[in-house]
Amino acid sequence: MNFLDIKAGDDVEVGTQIAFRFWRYVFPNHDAPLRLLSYVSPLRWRPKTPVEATSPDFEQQGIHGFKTMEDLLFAVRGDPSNLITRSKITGCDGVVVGSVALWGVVWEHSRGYRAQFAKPTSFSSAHGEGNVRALTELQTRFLQ
Amino acid sequence: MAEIGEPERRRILVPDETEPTPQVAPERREPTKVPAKEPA
Repeated sequence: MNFLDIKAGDDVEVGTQIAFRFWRYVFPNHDAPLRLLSYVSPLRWRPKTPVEATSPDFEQQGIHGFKTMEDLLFAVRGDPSNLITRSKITGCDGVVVGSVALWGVVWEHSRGYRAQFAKPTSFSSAHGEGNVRALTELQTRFLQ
Repeated sequence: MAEIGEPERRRILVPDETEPTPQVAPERREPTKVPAKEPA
């Protein structure tokens, strides 16, 4: 991380913050491996690789995650399948729900977080076209 | 994902699995040769 983001008086915690989020997935043509994308932004998540977002100190930037799975389900009106339509409008095949480890500058909100860095730690369910295959491939290729 | 509520506090988290700091080998220097003094 960029240590210039640490300001005088900041407490530095050792460790990461677990949060829950959802992504879009897409099976590209020509048997290419599945791609994982943020739900709102075009950010692509690559296997076993942390992602870095625009600093969460800037407006509403950062990698978003919910504090609990209940917070996530409340946001999607109880069913992640409600997210499939938008994912298909953007050319994707479905959505996947899982958890991430967050670190760096992390803004804590009442029901979630915005973080500078993130890495997936689990994928719990997938919804949409080829959801079983997507979940298996994500659990196999993206997690350490 | 805009439904995470109001911001409450700013935190700094550093993973405890950070890569070890690369060890930089000290520069190898040849000892300076001091010319032997001629016996007085």
